[in-house]
Amino acid sequence: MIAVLRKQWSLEMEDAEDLAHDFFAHALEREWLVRYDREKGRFRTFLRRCLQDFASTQYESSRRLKRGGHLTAVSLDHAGNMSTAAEVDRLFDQEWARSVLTLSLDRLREECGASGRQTTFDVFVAHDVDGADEPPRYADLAARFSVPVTQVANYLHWARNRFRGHALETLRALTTSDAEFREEARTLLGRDA
Amino acid sequence: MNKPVLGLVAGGVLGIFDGLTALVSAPEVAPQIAGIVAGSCAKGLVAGMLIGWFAKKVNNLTAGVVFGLAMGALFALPFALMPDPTTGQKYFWEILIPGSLVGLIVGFLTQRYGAMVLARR
Amino acid sequence: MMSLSDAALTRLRDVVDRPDAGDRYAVHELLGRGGMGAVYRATDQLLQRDVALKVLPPEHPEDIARRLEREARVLAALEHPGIVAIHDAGRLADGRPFYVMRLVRGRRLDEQVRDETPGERLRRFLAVCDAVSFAHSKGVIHRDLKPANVMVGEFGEVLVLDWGVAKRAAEVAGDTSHVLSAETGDTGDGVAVGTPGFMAPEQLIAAAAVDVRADVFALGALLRELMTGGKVAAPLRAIIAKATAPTASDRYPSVDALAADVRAWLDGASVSAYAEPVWEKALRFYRRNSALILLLLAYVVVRLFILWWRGV
Repeated sequence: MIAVLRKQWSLEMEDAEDLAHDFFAHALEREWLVRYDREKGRFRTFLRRCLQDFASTQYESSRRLKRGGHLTAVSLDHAGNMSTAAEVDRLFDQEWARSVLTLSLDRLREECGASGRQTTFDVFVAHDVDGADEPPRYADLAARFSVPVTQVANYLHWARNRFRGHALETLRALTTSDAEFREEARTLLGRDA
Repeated sequence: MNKPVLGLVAGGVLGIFDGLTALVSAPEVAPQIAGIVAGSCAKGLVAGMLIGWFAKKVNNLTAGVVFGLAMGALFALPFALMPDPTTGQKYFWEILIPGSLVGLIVGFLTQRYGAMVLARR
Repeated sequence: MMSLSDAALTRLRDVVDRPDAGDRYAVHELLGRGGMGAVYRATDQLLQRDVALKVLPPEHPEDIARRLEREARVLAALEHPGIVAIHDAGRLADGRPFYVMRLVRGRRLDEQVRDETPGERLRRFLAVCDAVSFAHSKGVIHRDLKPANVMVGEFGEVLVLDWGVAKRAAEVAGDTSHVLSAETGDTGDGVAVGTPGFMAPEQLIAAAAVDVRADVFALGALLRELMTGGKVAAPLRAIIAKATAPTASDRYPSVDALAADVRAWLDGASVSAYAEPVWEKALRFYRRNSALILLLLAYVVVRLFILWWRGV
């Protein structure tokens, strides 16, 4: 949400964090979230709209104030350069996917730590996370982690399978029906882009 | 229709036709027309069968046409050299050229339209 | 909590999506994605050859899984040079159904024919008809024929792909699954949606019986697509019009009948769909037999010349 606020309203990090904090405070105080109706669409979409309305209201308010406010007064010209609704949607979905996969990665780390597979986790992170731009060669990984080269492929295979499982479990926990699960899975995997 | 049969039929039919057209190019032979037509038909049948047999063996349009022309000329030659029994007049080119052409046409027909019969195993 | 870069996000999305095909198949790049899953290039480690692996997404519903399994069985029953061969089928370790088929290296039919003459395009079309006709003889209707589902392989062979919504003829009557997906336009459930212009009208009507003439319609539309870009002769236009008639009973009764008319056109013979005027018939006869006609004319000319010469 912070990323969306920064992009759409051209905010500094601190201002975006403050605004997000204010949003949740208002949402809880005024019980906006109970108004969510599953029939009308995904919860993320509902949440984003609430945020949008809140941020717009704040923007209008700050324009009426001569000083202060959470939003920097933006000239009309600059306002015209704001992202389109589609771009904001895409960013929101991407950030949501990022948080789900981050959560899944944390779960994998916990599992590996608990089962004595720390090296497996480290190899996976080195190849598929830190080395996402340019994956390191298996031989380099083997040297770095002092494991046989043949074992690198096994570690990656096991970790990817477990990571996949955690991601889908996380998704299941966030959804309430099969149809919603499939929709969210498409977003998670970037197929709606 | 297979090629030898096509050659036979085409040779016979065109032979009859060729014989009849003698009336046009040489009206004075009208009294002998029956014999002319019969002879032309027989010539066409034999030549046509040979041309059709050749087409069965050699699947080549040019070769078939040339062979047909040659057979047409070969079979027409004796009749072309023969003088008319009544007038003693020879109709050498009047018989040889159309006869050769008929052979050429039969050669073309058998190469182009005859059905290939596949060899049985 | 770790923070993921954009590159890491992309990569991890791929990790979740990519199928794990066990020890037998090493999965490589994604070749394409459709309503009925994704197709990857893979290597069969046992036979050491490249194959195409079709698999459902991780979030597939069970009824779609059954569809994929049925698609595999349909393909297995259709052994024909024009229908892509299936090598293996089953379920992955994560429960996703998959099947493995021949990897077709080639071009889509509509891309291939751009450089070809009308005659060559028609011969490609006849090859498609052969494959579809064979399927019909086995009681299978494709139901989603379109240029994207026909490939020309590296050896010039024409292959009909994507039998994902194919059905046995006995199952089709009253089956509305394909219709419902067309109505909702929902590709998310993995159910294929037909392409506008290639789906016969009866495929859009609930509970209507769909038979081989639906494929005849699609083939007619395909033929129209292949022949665009130039002047199309009247008999060919008539063939296309008959094949794509809105009412099934007005179309060719079978793919063989459609193919016969196309062959007749290629051979210069008369086409059943086209009411040819007399002068066109005569012209066509002349074109087919011009050499013979000229030879006979030459004979007549020679006879007339002889007549003239004797007169002289």
